[in-house]
Amino acid sequence: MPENRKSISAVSQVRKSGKIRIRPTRYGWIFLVVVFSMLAGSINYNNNLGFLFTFLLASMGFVSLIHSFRNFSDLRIESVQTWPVFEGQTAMFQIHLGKISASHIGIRFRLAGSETAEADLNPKGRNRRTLSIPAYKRGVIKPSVLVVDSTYPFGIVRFSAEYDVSSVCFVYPKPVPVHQLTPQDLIQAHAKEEKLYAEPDDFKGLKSYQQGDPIQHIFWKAYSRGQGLMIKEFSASETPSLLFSWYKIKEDTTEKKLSLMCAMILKAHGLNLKYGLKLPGRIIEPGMNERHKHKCLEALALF
Amino acid sequence: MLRSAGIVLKNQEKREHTPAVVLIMATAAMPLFFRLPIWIALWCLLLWGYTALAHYKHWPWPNRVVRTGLTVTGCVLALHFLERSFVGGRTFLGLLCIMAGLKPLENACHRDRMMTLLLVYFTFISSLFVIENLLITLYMFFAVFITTAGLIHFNHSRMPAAHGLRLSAIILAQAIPFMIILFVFFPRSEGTFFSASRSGQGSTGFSDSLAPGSVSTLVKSNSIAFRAEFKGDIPAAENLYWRGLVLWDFDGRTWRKGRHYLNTLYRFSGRNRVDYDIFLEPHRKRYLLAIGLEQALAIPETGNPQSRALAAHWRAQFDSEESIIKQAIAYFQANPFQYTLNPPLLSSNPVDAFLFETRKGYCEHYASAFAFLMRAAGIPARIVVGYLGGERNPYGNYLIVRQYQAHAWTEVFVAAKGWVRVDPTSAVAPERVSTGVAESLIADELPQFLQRGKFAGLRLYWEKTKYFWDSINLRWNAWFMEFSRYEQLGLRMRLGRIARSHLNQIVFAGAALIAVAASLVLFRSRRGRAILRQDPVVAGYYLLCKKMERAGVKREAFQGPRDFVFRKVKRFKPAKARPGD
Repeated sequence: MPENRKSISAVSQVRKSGKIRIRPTRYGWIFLVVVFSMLAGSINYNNNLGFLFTFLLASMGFVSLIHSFRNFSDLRIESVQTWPVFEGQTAMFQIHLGKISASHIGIRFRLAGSETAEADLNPKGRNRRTLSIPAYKRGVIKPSVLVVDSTYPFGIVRFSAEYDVSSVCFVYPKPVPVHQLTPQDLIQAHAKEEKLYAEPDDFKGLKSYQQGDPIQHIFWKAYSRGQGLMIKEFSASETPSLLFSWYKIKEDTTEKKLSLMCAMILKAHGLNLKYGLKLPGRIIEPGMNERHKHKCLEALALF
Repeated sequence: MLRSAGIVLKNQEKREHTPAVVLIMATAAMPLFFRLPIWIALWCLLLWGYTALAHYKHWPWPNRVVRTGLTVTGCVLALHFLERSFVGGRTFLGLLCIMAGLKPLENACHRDRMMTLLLVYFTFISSLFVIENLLITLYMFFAVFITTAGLIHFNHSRMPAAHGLRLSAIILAQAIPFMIILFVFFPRSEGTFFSASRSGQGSTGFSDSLAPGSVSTLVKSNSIAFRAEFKGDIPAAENLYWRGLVLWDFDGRTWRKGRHYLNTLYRFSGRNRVDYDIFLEPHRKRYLLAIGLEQALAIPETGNPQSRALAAHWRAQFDSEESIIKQAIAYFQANPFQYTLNPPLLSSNPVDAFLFETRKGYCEHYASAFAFLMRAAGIPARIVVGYLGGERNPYGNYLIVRQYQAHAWTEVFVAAKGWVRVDPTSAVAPERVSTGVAESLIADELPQFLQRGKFAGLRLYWEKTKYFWDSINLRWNAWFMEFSRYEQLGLRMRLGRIARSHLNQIVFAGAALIAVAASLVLFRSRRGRAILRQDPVVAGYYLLCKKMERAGVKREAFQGPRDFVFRKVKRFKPAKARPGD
């Protein structure tokens, strides 16, 4: 599961590429063959009932086209939202649809590489549909095209429209199990040789909680007394900042190195330390919030 | 967690909708049961019954081997027990029904169901080719309604079944104007693409020859040969001679067409002209019945010496042809001839045996003997086979002529008058001409349907019902089934368009189609669209939003339910407590 739905996501607008395409399905071709052979038979035997039946079927096919068109047009896709995942998980793409005035039945959505989701859309309902693409490899998933189609009502003709989707889903390398990492491992990866962090009992004082402050340092006693959320401050002048260095990691393959670095980032983030990345060709200065975490992980994904 | 979109696999391998498939197939194939032997109906019903029960009671489903075996068995049975001619014959229909019985068993995936439905349409049109009356026309709409509802439902199974029925009805109603326009304006041609034998299911009627026994066998059949609708009064019974075939060649026993037969529709020119239309039941022959007139003298050199002697005697005795004819008729009247369906068999000289020994026979014997006598006496004569009489339908001004009213008589050529009809049967059994078959024969000989049984009153009522239904069908036939190229031209002319050219016709039809299509597109009815069932939680949430908005707290577009509730709803202090909030 993506870590937190509220966390970073990539939302992109979509743009329709091309017009609505109309093509008969395989059953549509068979239907045409059936109708034409009936017509030929009726003409040959000069049978009025045969004509009537043939024309009835042909007319129904024709009328169904109109129903199909009305069912499919007036659909607007506004944006596609996605969240980063780790290798081995499933990337989710949530499609946000624009407001519709009437029901649309049997609309199918498909991204390049995803499954086909079929939906009946209600004007009153919340219109978002989610498609999933399994993330097998680290990197980015870029399903550039969203295909929306429908064969309502008879399944003999298919209306389809293509949309350009620029949403990109980052697939972070699969982290080594985080609990196996010790703080020593983190220090070992640090680029510089220096003393890193102060003892935790350099307690300085309390300050009121602000969003973004480490949750581990909340002074619960004060809260239980009704004094609001307060944070313990420590005298360590600065939070130690680590710079994880590619060159210091002792693994053989690239992927394993990246996995390890990913785990380290997650651990550091969990411990509320400042961390940065030093990769061949790129240095990310230490930082410590969500945004920074994702920036580092993205760098790993794109490596 | 609110319900997310149903994720469906493509072409799901799922056997569902079995009862619907069976029902639809049964609806389409049922009319064929009336034209096929009963074992076909049993085959289908058994298979469908098993299919339905296998679905409901989870009986074992036949696998592919069993299905193939059944198919082969069915085909073998059909080919064995039905007649030989293939295209359009009963064999084709029988095979179609065999397949119809088996097809619902092939129901593994969506593709199977779609193929079954498309074949259902095809099966149904075959029944339209063999049954042609008003009832099946109405049934056609019903069958299309059901099948299309199935088509919709199979494609969108999440919707309730009622949705399919409703949409099918709507589309059917919207399609009918197009259907009518196409039917009226689609160009008809006279010819055919390829000549295949007609798939007529009527009885054979006459063969092309007449021998002793030919006509009497037809008396067993009560089926309708044709109907004749009269614009004025229906002629008297003795004038209801319907000419079918003229036979010229006699070999001593059998009369045949010969080379002189002309295959055209005759314009009759009798003395008292009568206007009528003929509605012919399908048969495989290429002639058309008409009251009318026509054009010999050949008899074999040997055989039937006694008759020749008799004829020669008359020839010597009398001068005029009329006298000879009268003499021959008198001969029949004077001697004890009997009109019967079961005469003794005739020996090597059939005419002699009939005229001098047995003196018992049906119309073909009398006609044959009489014609022979005439030819032997030097008067050109020929045999005419057709029908005599007709049942009047009280509900319409027309006659129903049935096979048992088949008749054979003669025509002789008199110099001043041309071909004159002489019916020797009238000399022996005048009731046959004036009243009908039932009155001319002994009760024992009559077929079942002509005998007066018990329940006479009930029978009368039943007869009346049949007459009424028959008259409706005749009107239907006249109005609808006969709409051909001829009528199409007439209609166009009556519409005031000199639309002889195809271009005009196409433009008009195209314009009409576009008009109807445009009206459909423009007529956007929101209420007409399907109403989806909504998740009750979602419905409740939107109700809350609406109520809050009324109270002055509007949900922003970017606020999700939690956000909205915790931020705005919980902090909301109602200005006034209004009862009912």
